[in-house]
Amino acid sequence: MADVEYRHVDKIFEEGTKALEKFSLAVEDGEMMVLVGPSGCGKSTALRLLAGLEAVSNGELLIGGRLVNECSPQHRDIAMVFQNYALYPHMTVRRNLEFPLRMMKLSKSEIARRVEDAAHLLTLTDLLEKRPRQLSGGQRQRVAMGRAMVRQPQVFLMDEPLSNLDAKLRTQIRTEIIRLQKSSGVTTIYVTHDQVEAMTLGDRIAILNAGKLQQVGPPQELYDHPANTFVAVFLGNPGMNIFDATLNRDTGMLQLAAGAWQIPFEPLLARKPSLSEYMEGAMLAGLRPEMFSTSTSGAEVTVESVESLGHECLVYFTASCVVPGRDQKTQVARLPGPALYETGNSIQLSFDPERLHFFTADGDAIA
Amino acid sequence: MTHRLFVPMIYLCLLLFGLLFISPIGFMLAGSLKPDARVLVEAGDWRAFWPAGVTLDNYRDVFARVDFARYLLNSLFINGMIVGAGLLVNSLAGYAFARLLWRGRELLFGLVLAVMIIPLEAIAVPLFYMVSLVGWRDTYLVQILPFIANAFSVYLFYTYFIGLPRELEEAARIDGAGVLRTYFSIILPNAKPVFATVAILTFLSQWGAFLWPLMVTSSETVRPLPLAIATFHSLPPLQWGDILAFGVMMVLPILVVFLLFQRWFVRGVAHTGIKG
Amino acid sequence: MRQPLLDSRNFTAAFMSAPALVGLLLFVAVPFLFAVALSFTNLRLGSPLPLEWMGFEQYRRIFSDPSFVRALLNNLVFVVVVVPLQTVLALVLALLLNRRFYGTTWFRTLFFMPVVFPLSLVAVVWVLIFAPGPNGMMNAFLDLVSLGSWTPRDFLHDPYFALPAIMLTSIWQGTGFQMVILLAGLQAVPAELYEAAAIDGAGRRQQFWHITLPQLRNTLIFVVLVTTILAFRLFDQVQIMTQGGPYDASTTVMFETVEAAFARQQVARGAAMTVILFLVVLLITWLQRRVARQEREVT
Repeated sequence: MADVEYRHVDKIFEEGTKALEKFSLAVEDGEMMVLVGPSGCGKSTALRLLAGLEAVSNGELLIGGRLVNECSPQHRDIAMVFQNYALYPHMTVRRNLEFPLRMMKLSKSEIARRVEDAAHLLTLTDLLEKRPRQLSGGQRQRVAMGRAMVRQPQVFLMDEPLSNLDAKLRTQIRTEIIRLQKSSGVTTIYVTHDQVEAMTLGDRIAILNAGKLQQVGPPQELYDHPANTFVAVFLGNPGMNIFDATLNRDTGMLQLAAGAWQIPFEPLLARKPSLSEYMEGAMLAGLRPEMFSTSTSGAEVTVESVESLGHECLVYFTASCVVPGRDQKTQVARLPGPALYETGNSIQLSFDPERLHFFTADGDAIA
Repeated sequence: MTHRLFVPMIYLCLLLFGLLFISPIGFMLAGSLKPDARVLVEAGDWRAFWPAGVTLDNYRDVFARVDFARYLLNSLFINGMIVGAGLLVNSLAGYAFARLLWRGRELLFGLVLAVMIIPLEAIAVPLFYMVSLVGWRDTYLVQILPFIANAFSVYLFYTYFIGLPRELEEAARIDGAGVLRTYFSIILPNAKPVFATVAILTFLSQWGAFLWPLMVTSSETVRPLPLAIATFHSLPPLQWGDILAFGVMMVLPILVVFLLFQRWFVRGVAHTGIKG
Repeated sequence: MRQPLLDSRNFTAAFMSAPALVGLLLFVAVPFLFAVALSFTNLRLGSPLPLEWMGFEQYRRIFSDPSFVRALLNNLVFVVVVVPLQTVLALVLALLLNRRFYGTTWFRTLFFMPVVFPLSLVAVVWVLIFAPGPNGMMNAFLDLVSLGSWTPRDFLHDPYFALPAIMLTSIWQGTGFQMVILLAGLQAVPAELYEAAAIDGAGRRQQFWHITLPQLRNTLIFVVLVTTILAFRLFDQVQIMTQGGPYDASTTVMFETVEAAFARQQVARGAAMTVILFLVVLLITWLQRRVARQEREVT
């Protein structure tokens, strides 16, 4: 087992695209680290760099404290599960599982033993003589996992391994992956674009955007204390609402969404003294959709559309935002119970000011 | 559109063209099975296609007059070597161009594309002069070696390999396979269609080779079939039955191969039309 | 080119590509440059004259040689007649076969069969078909279709019929090849286009002109290119059927080249002829690229 470290890693492709910039991340031994972000954020590149499929432009990569920049993939002691599994189509499941072991020049008996073990663990025993094209998506996924496991590597790399499966199977295999990872204790780096997957799988999550690391931490911490508006909006379904916010010294009120909500800021300042630095200045405030409630004392908004989920509903409304460069104008509230609201109706929404998150105009969280 | 007559009309056209296309073949086959004297006499009417009183005399004559087996083996050997060595050599190069990063790759690939348009005919004379200088004339080698490396084959392999999913090779690399190992264990088994295509196209273009063997060979021992039938044709006495028998035997092996692997032939030829 | 695999692999790549590259260099590129160089000399095997640089003298002599000019002309006539005929015939056959009903596979096999015949064998068989006298198959056939008004001829020794005889032979052998390529092109046309056109009220004829032909354009250009180049490389049939005669009536550039380089040992002259052949091929390829590129700009 081993820890993994990225130290100030850059990746610039031949044609000049910067896929990764000053990327630093330390993954602890035995940890499940999920890299998550929108497509093109550099998460797959980060994984491929570690696998040795791409070369690092600048910086250092360490596996178990050993510098592996110049190391070929097979000598990094890693195994990878690909998005489309990359099973060798002309080999049976058994041959697929054996291939990496043959490359390691293990003895016949050792190969047989490891293949049997992996097949047993993943319930592949009955499928050993079949070819990949005869298998279902879930079975292929398990074979791909098996091929990674037989090597008994120090690190597992998984590149969106569940994205080719249907929703139900995805949940099922997700639990499976957690179980295998916990029982084997192998350091695992898992790439996904799906924040639900990230939240449920990761010991810690690293969120990337545009080649830069945004925040690392346990899922709940990231959810509760996003480091910036990107993380705030990215996590959660739907993500956090962002409003413009101003502390009005004259009225003693915090004005949200161009004054739609007016809240006395004294109690807020008492809890968060650093806010006073932003008196009268441009600022952003964020609020999770589930923090809204209907009340007669709230601000009046017009319902734009409603999505009913049965036990709850999502109510979309427009609240103006005066900060330039913020395109999220449609806000959303997650309200309990069946949808009693109709498009065009007015409803009054309020919330507990304690639940507000504050960001600078540039989007960084205010400590 | 008169839909009722449309299909019968198509059948009629096909039948008409089909008869025109098959008649030389039928004529050849029938003529090879009848006594020499009757081949020419009966060529002007329906009897041309009907061998009344079938005899294998012509076939026996061919073997008595020339060493047919020798020519056949020559052709098989020469073409087998060209196709076999060509598949290996050109596919390796195609793979190196498609998947490896190396100095000079773009430049050399440009050269491969450039020599693709030079036909054998355009270089036959100096090539002949060159092989004469090194004393290669009248050998198997001179009929094989110049045709192993083939720019079009390299290009076909290149386009196929570049279209293969890259994850397979990445998986193999992580599993610890080197480039050659990956090529032979992972790429080869998954590239059967392109190998079949190139094999068939090479075979089709080389099996009938006439100009080059005519230039570089003078002894019967290394001559291939296409040259042999031309010589046999001009060998007195002119016996058409024998010549046609020679022709039937000459085309039979490839015809059988063609009928067995027809789907691949058609696919291979159709492939030549898909170019950049 | 797409992004190659990770690390630079100069050695492995050199190892993998060297056999093919050396072969192409040694047996294509070098002879080609050699041909160009030779064409400017007076090299003649067994000649007592010293090797001399002659500049464009060989080319001047070639173009003032009536046999060569005739050969070039014959190739041109061959192209002008055979390429359209063969392409149209192949297209008709492909269109007839581009549908699913019983027997199409059989007919496709039949039309393709001559392609696997070596040209030399085809030539020999057709020598017999063109046999002189009323008993010759071609004579008899023409007599039949002209209802008895045909005078038997000795095709291969007739200045007016020798070249057409070779043309017919070539068409018989080559049509199947084109047909298969065109058939593949036809099958690549999305069926939705025809469905949309039918809904828009286009009949079969309109569908052919407005869907099939435009969609097939690049394939057709390619087929024409290949056939044209093949026409300029014409040799086997000439050598076997007519020996270029009578009186150069069926000679071709390649036949003249072989005559010069081998029968008369004029290596330099033969080399110059092949250079001309190459320039023609280059010109045709360039024309094809231009036409094809225009098409890309339009769409």
